[in-house]
Amino acid sequence: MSSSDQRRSAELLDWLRRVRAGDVAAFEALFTAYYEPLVRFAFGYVKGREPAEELVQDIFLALWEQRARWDVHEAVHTYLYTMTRNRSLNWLRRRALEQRSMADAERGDTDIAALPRPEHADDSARLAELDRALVAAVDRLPPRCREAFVLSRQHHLTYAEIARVMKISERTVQEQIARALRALRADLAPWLE
Amino acid sequence: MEHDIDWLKLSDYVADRASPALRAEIEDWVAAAPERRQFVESLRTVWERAGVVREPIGPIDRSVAWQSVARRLQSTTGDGIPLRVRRTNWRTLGVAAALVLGAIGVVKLMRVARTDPAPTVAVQSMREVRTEPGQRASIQLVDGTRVVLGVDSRLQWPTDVTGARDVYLEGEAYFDVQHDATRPFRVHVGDVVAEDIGTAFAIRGYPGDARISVAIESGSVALAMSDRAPKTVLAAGDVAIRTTGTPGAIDVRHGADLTSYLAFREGRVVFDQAPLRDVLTELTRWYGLNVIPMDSALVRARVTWTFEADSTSAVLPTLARILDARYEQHGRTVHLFVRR
Repeated sequence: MSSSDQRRSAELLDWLRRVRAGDVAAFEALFTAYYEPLVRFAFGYVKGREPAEELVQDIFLALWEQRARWDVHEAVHTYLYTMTRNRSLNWLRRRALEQRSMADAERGDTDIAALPRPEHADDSARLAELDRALVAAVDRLPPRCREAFVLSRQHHLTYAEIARVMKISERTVQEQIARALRALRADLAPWLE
Repeated sequence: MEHDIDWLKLSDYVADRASPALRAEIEDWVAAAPERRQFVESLRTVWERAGVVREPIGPIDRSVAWQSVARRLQSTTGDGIPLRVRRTNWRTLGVAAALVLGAIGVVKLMRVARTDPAPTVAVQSMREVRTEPGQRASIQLVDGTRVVLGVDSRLQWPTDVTGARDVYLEGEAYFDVQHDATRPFRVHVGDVVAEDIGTAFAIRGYPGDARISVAIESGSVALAMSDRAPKTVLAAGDVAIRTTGTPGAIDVRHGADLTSYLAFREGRVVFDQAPLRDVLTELTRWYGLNVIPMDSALVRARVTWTFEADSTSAVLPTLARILDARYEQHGRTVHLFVRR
């Protein structure tokens, strides 16, 4: 483990102990460290900022509610990413189901739907052409390939951690990332040659 | 250009996971043909950019998110669905109520102390929908009443579908009521009660606003101050304004232009000579933006403007043009300056 990994582990462990004891300040520190990365990670699946934020906030709330049952030695880092991944996939599954059952909505039941909402004015980082193409190319990767690659490059999980989050072997993680690199290099050829 | 090299090895090399032996192997391979060096360099470019570039997903306001989470830390939560719909267990009827967080896991409503003799109190199980800034909802109640709930608003209605239809609103909503003479439909907003007499109408009363307004699209509505008589009967084309804090006064305009009261259903906002403060408050409710005028000349401005709430990127530039101002945005905070 590198020294920065060690520092991260020690800090996490301290926060977890304090959160388990009901320390809201420590919980806020955990939130501050993980909220934005987890939202971006969820966004990769649900493709909407609001559902991504909603989802991650619910994860933190669930974490808080179940804090008494925590094993502080468990790797919360991978746990948070695993939760986010699972809930994102569930969200996608549920939405696919909803879109099918909307047609046969029961009469006599309250029917509530969100209306299309305006997109928030964005910070507008103007990406260079290669960067724009890269974002699109990553999005086009086969799903598990994309997940492994994103977890590695954007969220700095080790291959071992990725293996745990995705429930695959470390060797498979290695293969998926190699496949991603190959596909990206092919897709981005016009900008690289 | 195909390269006869194991991608697993290349990938490990570029990811700095290669053993010294593998590194030597790759470097020998690269040295053997000139175009290979450029190829590996391009892989490094992809690898490095992929570590830095993020898909733009709009502003993430972590402090707002934390406030939302912190508020819910001590209340019972349901499973996450796009709109916050939940069952609150207590409601004292006919009396202004304040929401107080009690012991962990319980949400209790408390009556605000009043000097008048208190009306009889009943409790009722309620359902609630809450919209976020920028979010609107379309609700069809079991009795067939259609509601459009505006941004940053909250609507509560009884779970008991056979009893009186008393609903409670904070914010803005449009009601198309399924008339039932045996079960009056009443909307409670602040200290105003609007009772349906077979109607479609829009009500607006955000907590903290100076006014509550009721605009009648069709049919008629009886307005009263809480449950006290006498009632003012409004007809189609009427707009009633209650200025909060003034004792008992409801100001009725007949034959009014209802456009600005109904526009929110289509995601449009209409201002006619509105004070800037009102415009900025709406921007917060529709976009979550906190717009601050930095010059006193701006503060006095009046704005006539209609905007479609989905043309986000145009909102700030358009406002700036209307005011002849310029703006600086940092995340959700925007400062407006007079253009010199």
